[in-house]
Amino acid sequence: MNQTGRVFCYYVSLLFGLLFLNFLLFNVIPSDPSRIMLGPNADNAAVEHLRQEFGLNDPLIKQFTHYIQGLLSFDLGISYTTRRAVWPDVASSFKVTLLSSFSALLLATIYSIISAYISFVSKSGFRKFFTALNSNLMSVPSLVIAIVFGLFCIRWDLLSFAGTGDVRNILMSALVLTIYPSASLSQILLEQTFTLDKQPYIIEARSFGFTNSFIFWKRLLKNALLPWISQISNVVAILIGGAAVVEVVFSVPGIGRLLFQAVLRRDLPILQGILATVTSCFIIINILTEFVYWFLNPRKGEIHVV
Amino acid sequence: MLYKYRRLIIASGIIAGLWLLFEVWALIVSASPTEVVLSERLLNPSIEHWFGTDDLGRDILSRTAYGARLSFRVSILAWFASLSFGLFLGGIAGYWEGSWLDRTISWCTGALFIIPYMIIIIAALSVLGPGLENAYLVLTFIAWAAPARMTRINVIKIKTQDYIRAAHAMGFSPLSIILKAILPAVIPTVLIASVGILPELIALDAGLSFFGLGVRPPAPSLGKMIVDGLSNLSLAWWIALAPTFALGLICISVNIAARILRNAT
Repeated sequence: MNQTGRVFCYYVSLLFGLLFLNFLLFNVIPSDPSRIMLGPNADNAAVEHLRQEFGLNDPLIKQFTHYIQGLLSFDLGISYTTRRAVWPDVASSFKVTLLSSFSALLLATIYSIISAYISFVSKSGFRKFFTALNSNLMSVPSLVIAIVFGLFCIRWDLLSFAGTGDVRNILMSALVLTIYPSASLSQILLEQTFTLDKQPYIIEARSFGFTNSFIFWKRLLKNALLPWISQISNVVAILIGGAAVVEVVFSVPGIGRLLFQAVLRRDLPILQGILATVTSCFIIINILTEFVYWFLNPRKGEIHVV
Repeated sequence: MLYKYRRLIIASGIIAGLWLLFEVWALIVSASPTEVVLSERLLNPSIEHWFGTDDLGRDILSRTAYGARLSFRVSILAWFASLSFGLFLGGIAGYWEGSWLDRTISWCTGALFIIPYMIIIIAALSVLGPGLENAYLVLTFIAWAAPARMTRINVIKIKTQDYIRAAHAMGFSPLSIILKAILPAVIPTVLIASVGILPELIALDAGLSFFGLGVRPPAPSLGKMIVDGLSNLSLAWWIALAPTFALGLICISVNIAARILRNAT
């Protein structure tokens, strides 16, 4: 089997593993979902009826195939508390989270390229400064950044649009969310820039008398971005975790707030739906990243395996 | 001697000193962290209550001290557990490189690196039920991947050396070779590199208690305090300030310690 096939198999197996974990977590470990749904005082006949209805008495394999079939037709079950279908709620809040995450990622891209450019062109202490700054920013939990930002917003009365879900609200959470990816992506790019700086083709370009700026944009950046791209999916994984917290702080109607409410109410179908959606979306992002990496890498055929 | 190990001493001094600070602080604060005094609700910071009181009249300073202490305990214990777990599994995977065992373990570590684990541990904990023991379990389950991967790479590098082959020739069992000959040689490298996951564990622990999945209330924890402060953010800004500050201080100091250690090697 060639490299491409192996990578594809890896992700498909990962997807099935995660979905199976998701299935086990919610359908097997809780002793009785129908009991949770009806409350502790329900009579046994009603519980049994609900078990029949949900197919909880079927063998495990049949339940799993049923679950996968449901996923394929976007049927994620019915919420315990609102009694509505889970998928529309999850989809609409996931859209908000994706929007804020991608604007955060865009800001992070701009920051990392600019910081790499500044520290490459001006050979002074900028590199040390950015490295130290990034490393410390990376370690601060997004919870802390969100609260500090929120306190400043209250000081200047900027939180009037919290909870509305309009563009300003989403942008606010994106601004907080961008700190982690900015720092970590900039760190990777800085390291890569200074590894490539000692490569013969850069020394050659320099001996031709090209300016640092020209070398950075035309010769160095494309190569320096390769490891950067391979790290994006890891960064997005942590970014989504941060989004869960930040959205609660700024009450953005995204996946984080839905998760928070579902945890408070122990609404297992919504949790399961969120988990299935996020993990499937992640596998897709990873496959896309592999594809972009392959597309940009001049050494074709060499696919990067995470 | 002292000069040679100065970085190690400074770094462990930062972590241990901070931990000790919160331990001692929690011992000497006079106000109880859980005592509800309804006559002293939402007090401003003053000499009596340095960081004010929350909406149930509890002293925020002592709650922060207890919460930070708990945060330290949870994350350092989870760190040790995941480190030993990762060392063992990484050692096995590196020793039998290319076997089905190695492929399974590498599959798991690869998966743990790319999945959005925050969402998964929140979902897992809300099924398993909140509580400290489950939080330990879930944090360990997430964090073993990084040390395991590092151990595996180092074991592969080291296992062709002569003294390992000599151990083979003398007929030791693979398990005793891994435990007695290979792992002691890779432990220092892995230990130093994996201090870097400690701030992440602290942040994750705070995130879990933020979602109400850490230690059960009324026992104080940093994340839960921040949530409580959040609902009163415009009314009483000081409730969220102290735990946020403590959390940021802990994470940045531990990260600086990790950086000092990493530069030493």
